Amino acid sequence: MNATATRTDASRTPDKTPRRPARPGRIALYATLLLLVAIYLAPLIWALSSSFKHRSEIFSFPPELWPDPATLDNYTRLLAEQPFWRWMLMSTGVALASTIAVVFLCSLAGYGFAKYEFKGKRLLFDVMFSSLAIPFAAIVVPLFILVAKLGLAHPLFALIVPWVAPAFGIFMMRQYIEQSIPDEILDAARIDGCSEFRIFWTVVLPLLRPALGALAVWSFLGAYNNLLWPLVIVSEPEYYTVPLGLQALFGAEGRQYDLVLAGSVLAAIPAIAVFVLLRKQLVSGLTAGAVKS
Amino acid sequence: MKDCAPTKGRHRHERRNRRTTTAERSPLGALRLHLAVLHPLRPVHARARHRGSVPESHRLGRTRLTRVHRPRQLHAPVPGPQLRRGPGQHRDLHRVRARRRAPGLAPDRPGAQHPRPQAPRLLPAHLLHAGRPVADHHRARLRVDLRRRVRPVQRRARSPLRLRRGLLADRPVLGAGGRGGPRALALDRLPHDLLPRRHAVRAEELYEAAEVDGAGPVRRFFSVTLPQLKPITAFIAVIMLVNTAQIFEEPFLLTQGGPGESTLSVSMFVYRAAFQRQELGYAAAAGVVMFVIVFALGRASSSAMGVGRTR
Repeated sequence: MNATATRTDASRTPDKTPRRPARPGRIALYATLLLLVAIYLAPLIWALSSSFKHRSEIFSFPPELWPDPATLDNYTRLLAEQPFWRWMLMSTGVALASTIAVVFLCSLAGYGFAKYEFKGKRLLFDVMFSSLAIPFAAIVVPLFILVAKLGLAHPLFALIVPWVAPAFGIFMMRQYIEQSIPDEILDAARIDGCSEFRIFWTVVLPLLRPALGALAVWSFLGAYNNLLWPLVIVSEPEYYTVPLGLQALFGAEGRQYDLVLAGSVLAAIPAIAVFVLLRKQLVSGLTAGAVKS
Repeated sequence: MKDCAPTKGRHRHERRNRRTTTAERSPLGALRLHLAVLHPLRPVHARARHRGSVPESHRLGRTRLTRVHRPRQLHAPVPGPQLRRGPGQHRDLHRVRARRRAPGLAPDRPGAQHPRPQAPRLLPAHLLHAGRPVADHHRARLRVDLRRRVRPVQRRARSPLRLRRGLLADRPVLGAGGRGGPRALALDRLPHDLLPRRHAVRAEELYEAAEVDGAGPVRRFFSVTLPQLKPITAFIAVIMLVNTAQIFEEPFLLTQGGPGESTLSVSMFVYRAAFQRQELGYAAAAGVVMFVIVFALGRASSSAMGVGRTR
């Protein structure tokens, strides 16, 4: 209700709350929702509880919610036998670095697409946008060959650089900038003598905070969870990321589910932390750019 | 959703240079704009000096139109009947102004005949209501609804068809029966072509209109929410399609594509061919085929949802 609406509607009945559904309906609704929550949470809870179980009990049926002889054995063995912290460092480092690059480059590119006119803009945008529809499997081989032939196959480089400007991020930032940053602000900054980059850095970026948060979470989780590309590009065990290390536990000595579960629980911590820290931005940022109003 | 999309000039500079008027910012303003477009006399100005020139009955409350954009073809004066002014009748303001601007050019003889702008008489059918221009129809009702502040009556639409028709036609229909109050009246009867584009109706108004028409929560969701979300839904559908088609981790970790090859996904196939069997070209070909299929599916799904371009 904006001002006009309230003024003209003054004579109407003030309460605008939608009618509540009848009681049984509401109970059914909550029952359904609870069921859904349980279904979604079940794997997590199973992983958490199983990570404290002995290997032989993990797959006992029916699964026990509470580990009977609870043991920290899995964790101590994982940390002792495997270079888990190294994987973790590698994963978070790579994810952080690529996230910073993604946030910076995507907002820069999105700003360009949203606020500047230049030759070939439409074409460029269409190309960029169409690349969203390309599955990674279609480009993994050419990308691998490219990176290898250029001599850039060092993991620290190859894990980050191909992902610094995802089309989705550019698209999202462009949508957000187009809708939430008025041209007048930019013109005001120009009149005040800002250089174009300074406008971006001091005016646009601060206004983008919600979208940047959302993009950061999205990109961090994407880089952190990625398995296929590290699998392709990383061959030396000292550069393993967490997913790579965990899948290596499925190798030589059979499937060490106990260690994998302990590792997964530990690996989930940074991801959840990032999500919780930036949750507010994630929600508001994603929806803010989503719908044209 | 074409009609509800925000205003976009074909070129950016057009959009930027275009001043928005008050009329374009509120539904009421749109109605006034509309009235001004079809009005037989001059548009209704807010400036005080123009006030005097507008007959009381043509003023719409505290109208605040600072600038009126009128479509050319509607504004082009249609020659009306020549009016003869009686002796002693007050001078026409148009003439006074014309004479001030260009003395000697404006006809100044007493009793001269001045063509007056008249209501365009040849109107397209959709601008006619019961044989009269829509503007007249509006004015009559508006005097009641806006100026005398008669309390609008909320009524349910006589037929649910009205709501459906309006929503399917992608035009903003408020209070589809035209009885939901001034705003509802305005947007319901307005020929949609004349609505400024940025007049995408706000969400809560759509819901309100649907509710007035007797749509329950479920109906509101399917008739209002879903159509409004169509573009973004199509976009997400395509993205999800691409993401799901390239599933890799789950079969790779859980089943290794087995038993046999029953859970082998395309991504896994490509990975195996390229990096375990070293058949790079073969794997690349598989990737390209997958891309073609996924792309075609994406196009098909987005056009099936009635969105030509996914953005």
